[in-house]
Amino acid sequence: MFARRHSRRLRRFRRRALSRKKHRYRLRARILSGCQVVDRTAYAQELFYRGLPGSALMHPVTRFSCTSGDRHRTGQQCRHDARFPLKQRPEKSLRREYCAFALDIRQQRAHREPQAAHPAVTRATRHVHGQNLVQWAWSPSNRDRVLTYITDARIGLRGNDLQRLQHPNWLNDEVINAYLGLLNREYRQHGVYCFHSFFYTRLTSPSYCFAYVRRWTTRARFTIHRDALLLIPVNIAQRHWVLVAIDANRRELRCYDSMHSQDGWCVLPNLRHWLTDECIDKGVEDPWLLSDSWTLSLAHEHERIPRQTDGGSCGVFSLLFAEALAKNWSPARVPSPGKPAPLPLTSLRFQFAQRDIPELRKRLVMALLRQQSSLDAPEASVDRISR
Amino acid sequence: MSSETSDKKPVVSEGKTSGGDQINLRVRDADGNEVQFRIKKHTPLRKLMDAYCTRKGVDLHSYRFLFDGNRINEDDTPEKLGMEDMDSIDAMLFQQGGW
Repeated sequence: MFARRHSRRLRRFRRRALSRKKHRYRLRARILSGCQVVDRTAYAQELFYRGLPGSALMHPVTRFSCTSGDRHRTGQQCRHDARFPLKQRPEKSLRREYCAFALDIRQQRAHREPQAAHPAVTRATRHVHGQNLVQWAWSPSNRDRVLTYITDARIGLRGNDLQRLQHPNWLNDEVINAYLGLLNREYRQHGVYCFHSFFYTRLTSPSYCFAYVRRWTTRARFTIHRDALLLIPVNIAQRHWVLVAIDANRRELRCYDSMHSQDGWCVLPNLRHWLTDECIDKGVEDPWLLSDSWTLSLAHEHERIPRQTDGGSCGVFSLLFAEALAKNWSPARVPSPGKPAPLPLTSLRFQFAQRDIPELRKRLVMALLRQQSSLDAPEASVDRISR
Repeated sequence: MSSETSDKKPVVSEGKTSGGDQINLRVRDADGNEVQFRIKKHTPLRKLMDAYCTRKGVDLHSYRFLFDGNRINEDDTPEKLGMEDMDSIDAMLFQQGGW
């Protein structure tokens, strides 16, 4: 009697377990085939935590496992394995928290002017604001999706590109140019203009040629003037990022190099040359700009700037230099009422150091996803990011 | 910038060739090599990019295409960007850096 009842219970239990498993697989299949699932984030997250065992076989795009040993994804180290043990699942309370966070973001959005979403941004993207936005952006299932479209730089950032903002990874041109696009939108009216990273490459390869970039400033409707600050990211030999700031107000070209190296001396003379060519070509007649007494310098030789000690964050440093310079820019001749007394570039203090970089990388992801250049995240979301 | 590989490659199939509808575009890379393409004004430039990357034998996402410094997206057309005959497009290899 007991044995029969026992075996019946066992059978029932097995049947239930089987149906649960089927249900999970069905969900997985639905998520991966792109159908609408109500709580998409939570399930995607769950799959992510589980390391995508079955689903990796179902979907060609995500055909890789997230377990240890997968270190070839972007040519850099895969960081997921250590951070996400398979047993860790989002609990119900946590899901509720995701919803609160989503609401928070939606409310913030309501205050901004509406942005036309680019068709390349997948429909799913607009619905997902669950949990930690940053981890979502870095999840492997988003690798090939366009997650955010920066209108000013005309760049659609994929999950692949945003994954470059995981701590030790190197940055690529997409991330750099997208963020500088955001800075452009914010600070262009104050006289700050950010070029993109291909400007210097185009100007100097195969050798210096002004004709290649002659039409670029015309097309961007930018003319150099006395109160302009030009920010130019420069990629040195596919291994290093530096930022050159051209301060027309003080006639300075300054190279911000997080490694404190001498690489800047290869870059500065070319840009000085370009400056002269540009003034002549565009018919600038300001004697201040046409003068020969421009100073070229490396920033770390004249002031204290943060120094990089890891092997992958120079791009992040360059972006942070750009942000600080653009934010604090005020030309000496025209003091604006809202800002304190103008500071020369040399007395600017950069309020970050190497130890802040992992956190600031996450803030950069947030900034890019929210399309706001500010890195000062509101307190509530900082808590959630740093978890 | 002598064009060592400057041959014409029709992107759009010939057949309905009407003179005013097609334009020639030159794609030049960082080394100064040029390739010329003929494309219809209303055709998305994705075709040109695909053709260029296939020709170079690289992944589609490894080149960034710029027109006068502005990024070209896949669904832009020559007409939308205001391109004229014999305009140049810059094909720049992706960049990265860490130290």
